[in-house]
Amino acid sequence: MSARKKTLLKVIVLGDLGVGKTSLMQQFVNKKFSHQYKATIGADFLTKDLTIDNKTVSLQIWDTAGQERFQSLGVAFYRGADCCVLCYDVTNEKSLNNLSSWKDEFLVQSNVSNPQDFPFIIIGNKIDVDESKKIPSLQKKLLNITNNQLGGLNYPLFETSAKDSINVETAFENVARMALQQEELNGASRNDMNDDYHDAINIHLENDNSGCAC
Amino acid sequence: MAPKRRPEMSQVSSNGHNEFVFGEKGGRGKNLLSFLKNLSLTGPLLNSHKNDNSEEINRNINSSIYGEMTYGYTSPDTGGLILPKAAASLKGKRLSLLSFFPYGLSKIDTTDGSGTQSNNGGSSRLASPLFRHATNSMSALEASLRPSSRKSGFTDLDDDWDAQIDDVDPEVAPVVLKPVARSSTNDMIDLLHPDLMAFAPSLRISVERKPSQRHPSRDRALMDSHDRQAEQEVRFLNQMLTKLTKFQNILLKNDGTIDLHELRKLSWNGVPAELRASVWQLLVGYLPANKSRQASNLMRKRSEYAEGLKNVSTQILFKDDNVISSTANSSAASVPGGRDSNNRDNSVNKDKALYHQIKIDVKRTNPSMPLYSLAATQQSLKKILYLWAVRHPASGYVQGINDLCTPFYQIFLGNYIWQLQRKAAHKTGAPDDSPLFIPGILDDNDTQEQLILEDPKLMTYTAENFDPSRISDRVTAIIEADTYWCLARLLENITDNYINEQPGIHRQVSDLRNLILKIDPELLQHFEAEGIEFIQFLFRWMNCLLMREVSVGLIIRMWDTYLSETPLGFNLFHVYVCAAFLIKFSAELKEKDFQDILLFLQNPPTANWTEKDIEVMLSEAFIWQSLYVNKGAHLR
Repeated sequence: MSARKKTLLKVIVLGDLGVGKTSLMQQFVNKKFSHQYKATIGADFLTKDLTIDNKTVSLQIWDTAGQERFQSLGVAFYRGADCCVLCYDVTNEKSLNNLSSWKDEFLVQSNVSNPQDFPFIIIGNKIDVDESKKIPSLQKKLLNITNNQLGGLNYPLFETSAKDSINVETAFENVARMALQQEELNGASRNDMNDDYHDAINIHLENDNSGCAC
Repeated sequence: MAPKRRPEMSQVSSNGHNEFVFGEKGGRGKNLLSFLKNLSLTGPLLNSHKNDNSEEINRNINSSIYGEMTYGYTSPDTGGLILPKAAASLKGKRLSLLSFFPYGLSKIDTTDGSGTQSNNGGSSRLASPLFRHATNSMSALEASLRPSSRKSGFTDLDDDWDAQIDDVDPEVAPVVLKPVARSSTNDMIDLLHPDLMAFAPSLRISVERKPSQRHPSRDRALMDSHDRQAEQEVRFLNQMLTKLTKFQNILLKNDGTIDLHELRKLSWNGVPAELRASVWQLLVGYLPANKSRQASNLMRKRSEYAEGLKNVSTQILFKDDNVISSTANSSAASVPGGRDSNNRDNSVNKDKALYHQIKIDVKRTNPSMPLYSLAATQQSLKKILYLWAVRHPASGYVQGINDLCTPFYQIFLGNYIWQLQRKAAHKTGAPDDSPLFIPGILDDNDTQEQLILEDPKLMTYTAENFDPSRISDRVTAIIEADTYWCLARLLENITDNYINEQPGIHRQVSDLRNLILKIDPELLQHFEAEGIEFIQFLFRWMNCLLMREVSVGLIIRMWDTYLSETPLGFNLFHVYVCAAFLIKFSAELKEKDFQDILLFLQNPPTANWTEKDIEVMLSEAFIWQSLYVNKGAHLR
């Protein structure tokens, strides 16, 4: 395995503005949190190396801007993606309702070969806030959105706090796994090992209390 | 075009340094610095004025700049360009370099008959502070070029320009060769202009007016540091004072109308901090050049802003942090018919969403500067941005416009503080500066103004350490209105950048790519080999006008030049500036792979940049614009 080149995995992070995409990425990549991030313009590029099942992968992450006006840029950033992270803010219902339009937008612009089973992952950020500020009956609404808008595909779901560093690492380990499977599926670096694509981590919302069920 | 035609100017680049070699046949030209040095040898003898009166000296300096004869310069208004070939045929190719300094070097006195092209004049004299300014930029450029010129690898490098330097003034050359840009600049000026020290006594008075701080690293090893420091300070003050006088002359000229053409020429090379607010307002077309119309025009515009705000704040109460639609429920209920009330609800929801977005972004505008974390500042920015967005529905609020708002706000706030300081100083005997004030801001009946005037720390305040909540509502509204209108003027120039699909930005990106293809094809090739798309890093450069890449202080200097360009430089000229910015890092970028290129360009190393770096960049941009503008074929 030593002689093999590092596998590059391209990950796109999407979601409404202000849900904490940049904070999540800074927490994951640089292990820090700040209140001082400026609004992302276009997209920021980050990289992080991870070891997944003894395999070193390099994540190339595009942390995109949340404003709708920038969506026409997608083509330049989404192409060749191996995984897409859809983010919402657990205190902002609109950001939750927009998840499916972000997904659709991504599929239209990225032109992926397998839209039906392309790996998406959902992250609800800001769980550190007071319970009273959270979206009322969040789980029910999420379930509703998954079934009715996201095609009932039960994408893995994580609830995180970029501020308190809760679940961020776990979520992105999953991102890396899913991206790796997608990348291998695409045959860019196929090896003869039959991968376990069909055992993809499917985390069902019904079993999901803490927000992370891995 | 004949395929094998050689360029008239070659740009050679290596290890992050760029070098321009001018000449008819692509490279057999003169080195820029040697040209400037030659030019510096041609001014009249300043030390013939044995007069300590600095005004007198300034007048003399002015007369020496604005002589009857001009050459080598044509106004950008007329679209005229001096290309190396044309200039060479007129006055020898050296003159073509004037295009580097569109305004500062535009006119050179030749009436004393000393011969402007003499390059062996033993007595070097300073022609003007602007010339010095230009020389500063040049030698900074020179200093950065120098190391690369020592390396081999250029095939068409002018082979005689080293000789040229030594030829001109053997004293100067070794100094220029030193690696520290600042010290080499100073040393060169020391050597060239020893008589400047004669200005020292008359300059002391200007200390309190020092418009900006510049403390770059200095090479003190060569001189007694104390003397050196004093000399540098004097020189700097002299430079500033002379510049200030020139601006004052234009602004106070007694014929009722300010000469905007002259003002642009001067401002291109930087505006003194004290006068920046009024100069910017003039350049952007907000403050009328006709002085008799200034007060009434401003009053009208300011009340228009207040009216506009009153109309929109029926939906949004800016005072409250939460969006409250004060009239939404009641008015919706009062309108008969469900459809109508639905529409109203929709529009209220849209307003809410817009306000939510602006609120989020204002909170994270310039987070590293204390001024922008103050509630009063954020309140003002929210109002300005919200009103602009509502009034310009084709684009609406787009992230990044919040950044563009800040230089105006900061400058106008600073201007109010300056006016108060001058007013207080006038009471204790300082000259009356009120003719330089933007009309309608100060008011003796303003009680909050009186309180600030009595503040013993007044003289220490700047826009960066003053809490705008101390300002009266009246003045707050004025600062907001002025910011609003200037922002609106700026954005008028780049409307296409923010409307749906942002076609302006895509055009700029493609123009810049084509420009790089001309200027630095190897860089383009490298980017393509690595799979870099220009939009991936350029989008932000265009959307925020480099405000994310360069500090606000330097952006303000850049805007002096942008605002002096006609049309305003935020659209076309900005592309050339971005090209200069990118090419500055060309050599480093060529060594990097995809990941590292993007990471580098996302966070380019500009933290230690000074105004000089910006000025070199602007000069490079000016050259490229001169070469490629109006030549659609080059860019498309």
